Amino acid sequence: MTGEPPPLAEARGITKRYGPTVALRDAGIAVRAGASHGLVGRNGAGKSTLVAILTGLERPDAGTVAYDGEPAPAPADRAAWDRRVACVHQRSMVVGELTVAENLFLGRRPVTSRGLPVSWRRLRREARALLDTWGVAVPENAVARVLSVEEAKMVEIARALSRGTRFVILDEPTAQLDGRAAARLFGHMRRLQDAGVTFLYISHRLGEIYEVCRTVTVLRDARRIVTAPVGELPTRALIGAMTGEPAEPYRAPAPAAPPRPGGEGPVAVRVDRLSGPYFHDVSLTLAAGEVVGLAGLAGSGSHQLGAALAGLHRPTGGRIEILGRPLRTGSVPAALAAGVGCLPRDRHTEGLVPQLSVAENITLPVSGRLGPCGLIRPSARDALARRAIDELEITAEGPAQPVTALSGGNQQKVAMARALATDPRVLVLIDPTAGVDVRSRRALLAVALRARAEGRAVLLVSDQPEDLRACDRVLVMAGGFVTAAYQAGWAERELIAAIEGVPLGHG
Amino acid sequence: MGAVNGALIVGLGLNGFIVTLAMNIVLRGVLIGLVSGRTLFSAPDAFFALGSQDWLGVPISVWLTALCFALAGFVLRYHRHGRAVYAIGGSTPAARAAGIRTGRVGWAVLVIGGALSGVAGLVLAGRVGALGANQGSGLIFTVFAAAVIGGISLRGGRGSLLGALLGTLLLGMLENLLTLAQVSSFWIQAIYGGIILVALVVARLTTGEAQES
Repeated sequence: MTGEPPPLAEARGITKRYGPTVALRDAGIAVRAGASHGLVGRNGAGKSTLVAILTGLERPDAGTVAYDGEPAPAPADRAAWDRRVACVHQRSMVVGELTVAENLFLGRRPVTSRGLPVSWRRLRREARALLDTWGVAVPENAVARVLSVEEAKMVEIARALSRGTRFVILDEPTAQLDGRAAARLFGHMRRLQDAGVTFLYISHRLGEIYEVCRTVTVLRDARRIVTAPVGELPTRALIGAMTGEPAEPYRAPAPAAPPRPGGEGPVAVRVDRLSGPYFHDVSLTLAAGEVVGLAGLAGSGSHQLGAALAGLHRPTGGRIEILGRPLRTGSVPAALAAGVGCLPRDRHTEGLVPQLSVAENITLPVSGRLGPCGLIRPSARDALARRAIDELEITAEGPAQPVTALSGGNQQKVAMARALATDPRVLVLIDPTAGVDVRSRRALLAVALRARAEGRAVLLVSDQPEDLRACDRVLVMAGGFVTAAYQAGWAERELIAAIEGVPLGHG
Repeated sequence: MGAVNGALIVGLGLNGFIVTLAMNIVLRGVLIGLVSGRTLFSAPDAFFALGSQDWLGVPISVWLTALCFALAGFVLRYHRHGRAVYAIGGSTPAARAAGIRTGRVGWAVLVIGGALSGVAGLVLAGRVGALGANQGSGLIFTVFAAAVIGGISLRGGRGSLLGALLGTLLLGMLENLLTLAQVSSFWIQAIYGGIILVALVVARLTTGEAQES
């Protein structure tokens, strides 16, 4: 190993405090050119802080950052940082109303000859050249708004590369992608890797780490736990390093869906030939005490079907019966009254009100039951919230804490508590484990299984195999139709193939 | 008028600020048209009672203000509909997903707001003892300023009625102070505006939070 060039990017002995909280304690990372590096850790482990320090947005309290063996640029010299490293954030940073070409050269004017206004022709030409260089098949004239998520990611990567860096940090790029779009993104990434680009790849989906990275670093509780080539760190050991628990055989929470005692429960939900803009002629039934998975890609209509059950989406035809009574569709209050509780798809938009406290978020659907005449007794509200905090093991200071102060996994648990607040007979969970760490995922799935044990019917909409393992049955949707059904004990390869809509046999 | 505004804003999804401003101009125009630009003095006594009579030595308008603030403050804090207003202000989709009838609550808020401003108009007319064509013009901006100074987010979801009360009192006292200090009435408006700006800057610096308006 002697004579090897210094690492492309290296951080050593980094300590960073925010007030009393230590975000990083003597942590470090070394990324070698050409060896894409995975960075994993539970929410709050210090990943974001490390990225902020590597990109020069935060200065460490102790420790050094070096690029190619040279000390990092001065904090104010953004241009120098941009030449060494770029970060593509989880949330899209393209301006939707501008064209791809404008987005590529955002904030710079190398395409303008001195004294002249913007030369659109030249801008487009250089944008085209840049996109071709990196093999991004996106029209340069397109308005960025119409791009798919993974195309927008590629535009962001191309923008970063145009500034001279060959080191790109990807922060959960696949969080909003379905399996097929993620696979396309990986294809692009591999091509870029061949062209000499190195990635620091952050993701909660551990499978992806094995797919695109050569080395992986695990952070836990503000420390670096391990750095190893992915080949030497099997999934089990990786999860052990992330959670700090002994590397027990990984299993879905509570041994995957034990057979239900007493066979079929009474029918809780009957969906009859339901149609809408996103799904067609869907019929299904859910029994009480049953967890049914609804799997599908982003455009398959599975999310909308779940939302329709909860009154968040109005179907155009067909009918829904809850506990034998027809449900007035398109009305959340009606769905709540009928006994449907819902964990909506995105906690940032539908799941939680960021300005309100933990207690207020949890009790929002039951605000009429906390005192006489619609008045809210704070004591009753907080008591209810405390019970939920205990039951779901939410890590929070108390009911009055603002919900945004919690980590992602705990926020999701608050949203789950809100769905359970009305004591629903039918629980609709849409992507319940999106963007949460391994331990929170297990806790959330355990809640779903507990709801089943309590005799509720659970519809779990997800395309994550780990989630679907907890289900008694899995229905697969593609293109708006239910295309396949599996009983518990399915083979993962088969299910994924059905979700992706590809015939088995190749790959 | 709140009901019409509500229909336009909630029903058609128009921008609340713009609709309010436009309605303000329309109503002012109607007022000027009705009185042909003159000032009315003759009206039944009852019409002016709210702004001109006392009860237990304190003007009725003060009692009325105290009552409105106390009632609204209580409802906003301890009633489900009051909390629903906060939830909707914070995140409308999240409130909708939690079973709150967002459209209906928003409409009700605008109707109540319209009714309250009607009462305020009666008080003002009673205090002046006349109905001027120009009465209350420009008040809309003072109201915005009072709300923002009182720590209320114009984007919604944040703020309290106590803040609104303090903001209103602060601006009211300011106006009084300027008059008492015998500042030339030609300059009062400019100074008043300047002080509001300074107050906003101070509020921004002391709380450290950006006022996302």
